[in-house]
Amino acid sequence: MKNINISDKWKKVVSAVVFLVITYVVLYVVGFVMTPKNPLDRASYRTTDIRGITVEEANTLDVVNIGHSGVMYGIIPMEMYEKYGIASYNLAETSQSPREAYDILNEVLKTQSPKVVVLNVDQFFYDKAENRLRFAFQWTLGRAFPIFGAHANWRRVLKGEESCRSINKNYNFSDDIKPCDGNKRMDKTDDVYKMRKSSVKNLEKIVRLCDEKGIKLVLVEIPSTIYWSYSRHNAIEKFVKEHNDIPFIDMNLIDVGVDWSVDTKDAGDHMNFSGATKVSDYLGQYLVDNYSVGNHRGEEKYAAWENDLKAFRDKYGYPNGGKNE
Amino acid sequence: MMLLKLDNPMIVLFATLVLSLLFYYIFPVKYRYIVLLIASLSFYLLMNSYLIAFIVFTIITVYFGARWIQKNNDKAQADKDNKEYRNKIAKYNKAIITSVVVINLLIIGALKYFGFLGSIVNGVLGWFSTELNWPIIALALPMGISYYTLQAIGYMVDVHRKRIQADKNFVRVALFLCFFPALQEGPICRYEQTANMLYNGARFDYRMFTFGAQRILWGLFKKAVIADRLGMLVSTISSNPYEYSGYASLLFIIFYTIQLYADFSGFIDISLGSAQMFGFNLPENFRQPFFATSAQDFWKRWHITLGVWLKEYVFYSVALSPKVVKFCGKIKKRWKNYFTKMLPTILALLAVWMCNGLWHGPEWKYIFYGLYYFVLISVSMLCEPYVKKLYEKWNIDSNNKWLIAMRHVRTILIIFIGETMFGANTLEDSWHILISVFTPYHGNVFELGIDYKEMIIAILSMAVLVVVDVLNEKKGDVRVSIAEKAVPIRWTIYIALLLSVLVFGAYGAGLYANSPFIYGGF
Repeated sequence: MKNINISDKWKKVVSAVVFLVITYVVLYVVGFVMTPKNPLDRASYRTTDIRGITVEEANTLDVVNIGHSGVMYGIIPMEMYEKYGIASYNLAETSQSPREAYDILNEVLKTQSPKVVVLNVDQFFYDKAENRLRFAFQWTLGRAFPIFGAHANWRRVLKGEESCRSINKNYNFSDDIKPCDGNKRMDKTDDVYKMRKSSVKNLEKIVRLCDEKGIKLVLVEIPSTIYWSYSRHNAIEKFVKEHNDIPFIDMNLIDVGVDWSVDTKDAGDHMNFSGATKVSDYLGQYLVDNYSVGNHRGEEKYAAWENDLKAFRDKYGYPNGGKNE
Repeated sequence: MMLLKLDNPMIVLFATLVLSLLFYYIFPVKYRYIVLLIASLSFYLLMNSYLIAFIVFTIITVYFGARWIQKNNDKAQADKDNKEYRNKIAKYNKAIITSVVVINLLIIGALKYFGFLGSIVNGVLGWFSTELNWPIIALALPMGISYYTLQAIGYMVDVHRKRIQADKNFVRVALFLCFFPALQEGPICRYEQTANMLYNGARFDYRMFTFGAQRILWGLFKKAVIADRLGMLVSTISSNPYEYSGYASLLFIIFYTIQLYADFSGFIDISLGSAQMFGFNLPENFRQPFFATSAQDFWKRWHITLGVWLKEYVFYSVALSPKVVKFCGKIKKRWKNYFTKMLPTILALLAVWMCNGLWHGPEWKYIFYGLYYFVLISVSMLCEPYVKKLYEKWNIDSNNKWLIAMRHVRTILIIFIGETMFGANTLEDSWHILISVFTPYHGNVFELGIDYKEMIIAILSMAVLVVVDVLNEKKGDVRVSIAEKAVPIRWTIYIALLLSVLVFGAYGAGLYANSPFIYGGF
C-alpha cells in the first residue's frame, strides 16, 4: 500500500515537471516566433506611432530624436517644423535601452539620411541603483519569456499591420499637470557617476555609427527631476570630452523656460504639452543656429508635412489654448 | 519610463504568492500561519507602506474590544442569576461594541467620505452665499479598508451576539483580517469561515494546488483578455458620453456590464485560486449572475459575500431592533394589512441598500444604484402575493418556460440599467447613455476605442466566458470535467488558456494601458 502511495506521488511529481517543461517550451517557441526581427517592429509594440517613420519619404528627415519616453513626451517634431521648418521624427519608445537605441538608428539609416541625431542620455543610466532590481527582473523575464515583449504581435499575424502616417511624428501628447519642486539633485558636485560598461559601449557604437555616416550627434538631457543628477551630468561631460567634444545640452542646467509648476505631467518625470513646447522651441533654435537644417516650410517636397501640421494643430491646438508666436 | 514596474500591484501580488507558497510548504504545518502573516503584512507594506497603520489599528481595537466583551459575558455567565448585573453587563457591552464599531467606521468615513460630505456642505453653504467652505482634500485610502472593516465589524457583532467566543489568539485575529489574497477585493469572510482554517494551516493537496492555479489562470483570462479589452471601448464612451448614441451607447451598456463582471469575478478567481493553492476554500462571491431570474436572485449570485454581510449585520440589526419593532407595531395596530406587516422588512431593506450604495463610494450614482435595487426588490416583494393570485386566477403555471425566459430577459435588462448607472461617470451621463440608445449613431464601430482586430478577440473571449458560465451553471465546476479528460486534452486546454492570456491579454506599455481592478477602488 505504501509503495503504491509513493509511486503515485512520484507519478504526480514527474507529470507536473513534464507539464511545466512542455508549457515553457511552447511559451518560448511561440514568443520567439512572434518576436519581429526588425527593431522598428519590435518598438511598435510599445509605441505604435514609431512605425510611421517607414512611410516618410526617403531622405526627407533632417533630424531624428532618440530616447525613451522622456523624448516621446518631451520633443514635439511638429513644433520644430512649424517654427523652424525642421523635419524630424521621434525614434523613441517606452523604456528604450541603449542597445535598442543603436539598433533602431541603424535600421532607420537604411532609408533616411538625417544630418543630426539628437540623443537623450537618460537611458544610459538605467542600470544603476534604484533601477537595478527592476531591470534585472525585466531583462530576465524578457529573455526567458519573449512572449511578454512580443505578445501584441498577434495583431500583425491576424492581418498585417499597416504603417500609418503619423501626424505626431511619435510625440505623445499629454496636457496633464502634476507640479513638482524641480530637480533637487542638481547642486554642483565633482562626483562622476560611474556608467555601466555596456551603456558606454552602446553609446560609443552610436557615436561611431554617426561618424561613419557623417551625421552630427547632439546629446541632450530633457528636463527631468526623477533620476537625473549633477553626477550623471558629469559622467556625460567626461564622455564627450573623451569623444571630440560632442555637443551636450543638459536642459536641467540650461534655462529653457520650464516652469515645474505647470510644465510636467507627472511631477517631474515627463514634460506635458506646454513643457514639451518649450523644450522643442529651444532645441529647434539650437539646431538651426548650429547645423544646416530646417527651413522646409513651403517646399513642395514637404507638402505632406504641411497637411500633418494642420492636422496636428487641429487635434491638439497650442498649449493653454494660446497661439504660437 | 519603465516597461514593467515592480510596484505594479499584480506583480507584487504574484511575487508575494510565489514566495509565500514556497515557504508555506517548506515550514511544518503548525507554523505555516507565520508564513501567511508575514507574507500578508509584507504585501501590505509593499503596496501601501505607512497606511498599514490603519489595518493594524483595526486589528488591535477589534481584538481587545472583542476580548473585553467576552470577559464581561463570562462574568455575567458566572453570575447568571443576577438579572440586574446581567443587564448592566449588557449595557456595558453595548457601549464597547458601539465604540469600536464607531471608531472604525469613523476612520473609513473620514478617509472615504470626507470629500463627499464636503461637497454636500459646500452645496448647502452655497445657497446662503457664505464665504465659508469645507476643505475638499483627497485622502489616501488604505488598501482593502472597505473589505477588512466589514470583516472586523462582523467579528465584533458575532462576539457580541454570543454567536462565537472572542479569540484569545491575537495572531489568528490578525490573519483573519489581513490574509493577503482576500485583502484587496474580498471575498468578505466571516470569522468562523476562515480564521481557524488559516491559522491551523493545510497539508499539501495536489488537487487543491492545481485547481487553485487553474482558477488563477481563468481569473487572469477574464481580467486581461476580456475586462481590460472591453475597458478600452468603455472609457472612450464614458469620457465623452454626449458624443455617442444608438448602438455605441448600447455597446457601452453591454460591454461595461461584462467588463465589470469579468474584472471583479476575475479578481475573485485570483483570490480564491491563491487561497486554494494554500489549501483553503474561501467563500464564493459569484455564481453565474447573468442566469438570475430576478433582481433578488441576481444579488444572491453577484458579490455574494457583501450581500450576506449586509443581510446578517444590517438587515437583521434593523429589522429586529427594538425601536423599529415598536414603531412598526404601532403602525400595524392602526392599519392591519399586508403592507404594514412587511414594513419592518422594507425598512431593513432600505438600510441594506443605502449601505450597499454608500459602500461602493461617496457618490450620488452609487446611492441611486442602491436605491434602484431597493425599489425593485421591495416592489417585487410587495406585489408577490397579488401576482400569485393572478397566476392562479388565469391558470398560468409560474414555471412555464416562456415565463422563465421572460424573467431572464427582464433581469438582464434590470442589470444593464443598474450597471450603466454604476459605470457612467455621473447620474446625468448614465441617463443620457440609456436614453440615447434610441437615437441612431452613424459613426464607425471600430473607432470607439477598439479596432476590428481587438473586437474579434473581445467577441471570441466573451463567447468563451459564456460557454464556461453555462457549463458551470448546468454541469457544475468546469475544472472537474476538464480534470477527468485524458492528459493530452487537458494539458492542451491548460496551455491554450495560458497562451491566450499571455498573447491576447491587454497588458504592457504602449498599445494597452495597464488597468487597475475596478473593485480595488472601493
